[in-house]
Amino acid sequence: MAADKQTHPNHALHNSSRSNAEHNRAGHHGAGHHGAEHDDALIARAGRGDRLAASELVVRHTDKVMAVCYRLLNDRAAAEDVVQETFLKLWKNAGAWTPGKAQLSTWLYRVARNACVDRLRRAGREAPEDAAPERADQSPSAEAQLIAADRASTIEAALQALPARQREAIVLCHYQELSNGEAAEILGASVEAVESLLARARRTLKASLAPMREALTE
Amino acid sequence: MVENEKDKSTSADKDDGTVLSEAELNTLLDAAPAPAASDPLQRAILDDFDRLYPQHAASADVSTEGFRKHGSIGARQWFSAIFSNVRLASARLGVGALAAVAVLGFSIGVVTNSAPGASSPSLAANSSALDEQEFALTYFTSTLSDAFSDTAFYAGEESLWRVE
Repeated sequence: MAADKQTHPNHALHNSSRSNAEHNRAGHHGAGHHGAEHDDALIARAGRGDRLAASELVVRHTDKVMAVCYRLLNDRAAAEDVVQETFLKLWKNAGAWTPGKAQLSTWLYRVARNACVDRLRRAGREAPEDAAPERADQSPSAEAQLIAADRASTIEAALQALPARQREAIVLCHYQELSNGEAAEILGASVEAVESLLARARRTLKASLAPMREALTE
Repeated sequence: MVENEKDKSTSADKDDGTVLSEAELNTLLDAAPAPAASDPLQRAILDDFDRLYPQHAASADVSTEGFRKHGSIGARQWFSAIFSNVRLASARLGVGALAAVAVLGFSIGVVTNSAPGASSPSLAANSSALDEQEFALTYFTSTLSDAFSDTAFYAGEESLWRVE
């Protein structure tokens, strides 16, 4: 599992382009800071009704789960519903959590991903049509905000145009920085299948986003 | 080795102007961050937790309800509360009892000392001795009463502290 992380060019490039990559990887393994309590210990405390532990788990994981749900559903309200459902399942199962058996983040992604797939199936669609991605713009000027929003919207549209499985692979491996093995576990696929999904997704995106090359120089 | 392969693929991509390189694609993908979880969402998640794990709030309600709604608690709870404060209560009882015994002893001494020496104990002297005995008894009972009141106060405080 560790090997596929190294052999995939995505991670080598991606990790070098992010200053907080190390921090995020640490977060996947339960505790993002030195001295921070491990997820397993927090779940055990939450299972005994400890609200502070539950609060810490929420702070650690909601953004990441929200990101996955939003990417898969392309609908903020629906994504929030799934995040809430996912944590409700966590609270219900906290007392029976087996330490060391699985990483909490992987479990959360899998539950969230399955809930998203169920929703999309129920809605009878693969991707929502009324996609108007919401963005938290951090640009200083109104013009810069518009440009950033437009760029994000185009990228989001390209992601949504991907087949669902390819999009899931990109979301988990690129945005959530999971290894191909972890993504395979969540998707219920083999590592080779995930590598194939990623390769096809990236090939498609490279072509569909090529017109945005000039945006990179701005 | 991995880096070299990555460089080759990047330069190959750049030669072909119709597709982005790996690095360019990564940069663009990172330019579209997903929204963070909102505060109301996080609160809703914790509300779910509170609904599933209400035991602390429930036990607090029961113990405070006993005092506020019914005005008293059961004998069993009283015994439990008193014995949980037994060191404080016994200390107060001990001090009160010692004071009462000292006063009683003093007054009895006064009566017995004055009786043999007096040819005919005056009514006033007898009256004085009786007053002192009555005072001593009153003090003794009030001290006992205070001690029990204090015990009751600490019992209540202890229950409230346990709620915390």
